[in-house]
Amino acid sequence: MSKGSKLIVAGVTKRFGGLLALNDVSFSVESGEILALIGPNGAGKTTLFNCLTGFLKVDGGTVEFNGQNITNWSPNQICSLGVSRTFQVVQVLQGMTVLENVMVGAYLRHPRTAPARESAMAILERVGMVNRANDLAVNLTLPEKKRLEVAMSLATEPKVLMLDESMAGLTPTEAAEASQMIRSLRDEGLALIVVEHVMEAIMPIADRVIVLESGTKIAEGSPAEIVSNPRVISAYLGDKYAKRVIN
Amino acid sequence: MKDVNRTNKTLLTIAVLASIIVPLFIKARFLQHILVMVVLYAVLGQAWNILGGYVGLVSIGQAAFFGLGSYVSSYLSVEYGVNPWFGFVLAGLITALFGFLIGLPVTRLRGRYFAIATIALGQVMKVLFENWQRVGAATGLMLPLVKEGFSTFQFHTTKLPYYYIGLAMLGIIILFMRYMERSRLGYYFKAIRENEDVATALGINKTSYKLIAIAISAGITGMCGTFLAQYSLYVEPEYMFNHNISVTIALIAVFGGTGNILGPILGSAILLPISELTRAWMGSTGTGIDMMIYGAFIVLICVYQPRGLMGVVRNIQARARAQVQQARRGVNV
Repeated sequence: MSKGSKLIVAGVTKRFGGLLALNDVSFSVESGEILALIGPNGAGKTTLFNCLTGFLKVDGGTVEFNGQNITNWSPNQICSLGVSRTFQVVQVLQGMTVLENVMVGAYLRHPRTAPARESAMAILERVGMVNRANDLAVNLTLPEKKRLEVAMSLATEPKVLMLDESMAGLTPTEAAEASQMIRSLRDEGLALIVVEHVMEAIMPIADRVIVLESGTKIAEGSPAEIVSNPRVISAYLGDKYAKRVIN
Repeated sequence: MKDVNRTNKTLLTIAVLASIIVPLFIKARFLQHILVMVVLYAVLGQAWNILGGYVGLVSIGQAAFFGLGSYVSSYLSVEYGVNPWFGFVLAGLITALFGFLIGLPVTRLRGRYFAIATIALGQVMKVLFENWQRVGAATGLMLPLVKEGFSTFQFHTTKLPYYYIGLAMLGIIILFMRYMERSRLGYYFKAIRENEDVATALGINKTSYKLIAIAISAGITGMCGTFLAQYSLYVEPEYMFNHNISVTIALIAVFGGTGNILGPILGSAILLPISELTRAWMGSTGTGIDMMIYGAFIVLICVYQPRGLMGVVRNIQARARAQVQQARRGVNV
């Protein structure tokens, strides 16, 4: 359904005052691909997400989706076009039920209530939350809220789905379930950009990995290439360690 | 569950019938006056509720829309002899447009800053009309006394027709809100209230929906202004743009419970009689007593049940439901 979508990021730069948060970052991702975005704390991963989804204005560079320049569009326009995201600090509509939360997302493609509810229920089924449908979102556990957030994003029927640390804080079993889910979304033709700290969970499923450090892309490649890349090791563990590992 | 739903439906039917039939037997003009005020403020509370309860934009300047609406119809009626019903509809449209235009800058403000801006708006409108010679400045406008009747929107012998017109307005707004609650509009409103960032991330254009809400709220409030102008047959800035109107509207909604349909009606039915009665009993020395009582109620609500009276009602219902379930379990054992 969403075959052939492509998001191209070219030379994106973002400054916060004197701090260069993103420096000339370029990459692309297309349908049927999982792109992992990793990097130490403060590397600019979330800033990059915010720039791609319109929550922050970029200071330079372009974001292109299916040939259309979407740089600095408003977040809701970008979402309507088919680029959806979750938040690093989990954000749900606390005072509404789980079903209502997902329906708000589903209304984007189904303006009438009955089809929106149907579509929302199908998604809840898929993420295994049907039994929670009528509970208030505020009463969910943290992992459940994260799952709900993914469900809400999916309800907007995106072509590109950007997940910001959706697996943080999950038990190994839950993380495995989440990986399974991400894989099946890819097989359906979604393009996924996944920010993750849980390396065991993301490395086995990623098709490609890009590494950010201090706002600069320092490496890009297959997971196998990345784990043996000296710049990546030094970014995570320091230069001393990098030399030791390489030798 | 079913029993509770059935009880709710029965109660609702009784309430509707009572609101239509009982007033017919009330002959005292003062009691009729209280009824009129209760329905008027129930509508006003509902209009506030759309903006404050559903979208989360707390307005303490509804008097700006209220006064503007009252002046639109009154000015047209005094100057050009326009039928007040036409003025009534026009007041709705013009205040809705006004709300939209004011909303363009004001809805960009969040939380308390929006509230402060609306207070300022109410005051500015009052000062503006106090100095606008064309509409009578501080003395305002007297509506010409004409033969009473539905077509002239004037009734002198009894206040009941006003009550029924107000009741019809309330009925229409309730139907609209029931539709809204079950449609995309209502869901999007609530989503914006709960979390603007999430709403935007899900493709909602929050600015448009806030503007829709403020336009609807302003339009209804403006029509209520026309209603009060036809009821009292004069308009003046001190009366129609009074800050107390803005405060009372907000208090009624918060007291009754926001974000649902019954709350503002309940709030109006309890607070308005208190205000009118204290005013009647204590005369001019009682001015402000109603506000003191409101204040006490609001403190109680804030401390014990922030969801308003509807929160209290919901708790009772939940308890009843639990008891029913327990009883059933008892039977099964």
